Amino acid sequence: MDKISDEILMAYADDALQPAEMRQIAALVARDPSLASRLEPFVVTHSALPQIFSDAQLGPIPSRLLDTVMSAPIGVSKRPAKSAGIVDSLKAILFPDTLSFARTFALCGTVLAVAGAGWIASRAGLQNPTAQQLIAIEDGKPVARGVLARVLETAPMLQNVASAEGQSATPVVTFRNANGSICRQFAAAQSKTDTLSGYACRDDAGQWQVGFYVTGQNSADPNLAQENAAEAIMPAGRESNPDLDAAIENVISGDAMDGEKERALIANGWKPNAPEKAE
Amino acid sequence: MTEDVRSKMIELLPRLRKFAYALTRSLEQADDLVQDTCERALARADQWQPGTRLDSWMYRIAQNIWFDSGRSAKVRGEQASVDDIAELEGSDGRTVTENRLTLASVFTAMEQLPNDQQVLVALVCVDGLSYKEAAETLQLPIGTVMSRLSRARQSIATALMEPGPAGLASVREAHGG
Repeated sequence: MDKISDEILMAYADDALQPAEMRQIAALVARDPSLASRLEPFVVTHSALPQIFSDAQLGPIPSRLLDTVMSAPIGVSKRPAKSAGIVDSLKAILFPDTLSFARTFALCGTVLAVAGAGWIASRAGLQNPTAQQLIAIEDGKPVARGVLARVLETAPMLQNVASAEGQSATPVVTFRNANGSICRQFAAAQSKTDTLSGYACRDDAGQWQVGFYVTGQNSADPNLAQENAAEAIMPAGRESNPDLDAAIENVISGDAMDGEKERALIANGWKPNAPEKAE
Repeated sequence: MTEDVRSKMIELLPRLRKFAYALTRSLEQADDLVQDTCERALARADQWQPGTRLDSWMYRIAQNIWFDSGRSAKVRGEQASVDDIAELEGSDGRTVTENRLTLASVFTAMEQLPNDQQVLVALVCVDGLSYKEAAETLQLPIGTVMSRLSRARQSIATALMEPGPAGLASVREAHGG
């Protein structure tokens, strides 16, 4: 048998050979110590390098990168004017054709949740007047602002983005409500210690109206909180909060979107250009 | 179509950052490089053919910016401020110090590689492209990709597997001087 080349050993370590070749090399390595020691550098680098240069090392995406991608001048400019939306969500809420018991319950839940959220947001605003709030009250309704608004508008699910001020946000799940509006569950951090999770729906003007949110505390120890910020935010949004789950359960229509459908909508400014496949 | 490019770029950001981190071995420089890469890519968006791979095109732009700017040479020797690197998640019970030494020796070993080998390590070992995809990205024959990559990994593995006094000495040299 010919000498086994370094390239073949590397491909074996990377699991990049055909199954028959994989078995053949495995058998040769098992009975030849010199081959095994030549294989080792490739096995070691195969497992160590992805760990050293990992997402965990990098932490959340800085929001300046998002801003650059969204606003840097483009070589060929042919931006069409935004067309008006077609869903008259207000009308649908005020004059629903039929209201099942569950629907009625869901609408009441939403109204209560929004009223509660508004109260909490205004309290939070009083407590911390310097940092920009991720949720602001406009016309009496809570609306996403800052990095939360940008992430909801542009980032695919589970992409964690942080602003220079230390605020961060991650979209968790995207779905439609009964009116056909796009809604996204999010996990965010207002500061190193104050977390937010909730959901918001996009209105025709491109504002993300917060339907429900809950606040939380990350950790009392700021050093610990800072170190854990990246890890804490991502799973936090997926940890079930029963109130949030119930709020989403009340408004969701159909299933959560898959990544492909979500990407297509983001690329199109959340306007469906082709009818979505019926589930 | 332009909005499509932007949203595809946002999707690529996590991979671009990892690629840039592998090239620059500095968290701050990595994000600066990604920002420059996105700006240049958008300015030349007409050169990208929809339907072809955006990642390959942007990796080429990133590597050109990094190696042409002279920043890669400037950071050599003053690089790898391992103190501000987050600890590797250590389920194997290794200490923080050992992890930092491991990082430092890997960074030093990568610094000493030729540019094209650094890029191959970033594409295949960090980003996870196949040899064929890496060959297409760099427009090189696959045999060349595999032989260069195997040499690069042997150099890095030497540093990884022998992080003892030699590794420590080279780190001190790299940082202290």
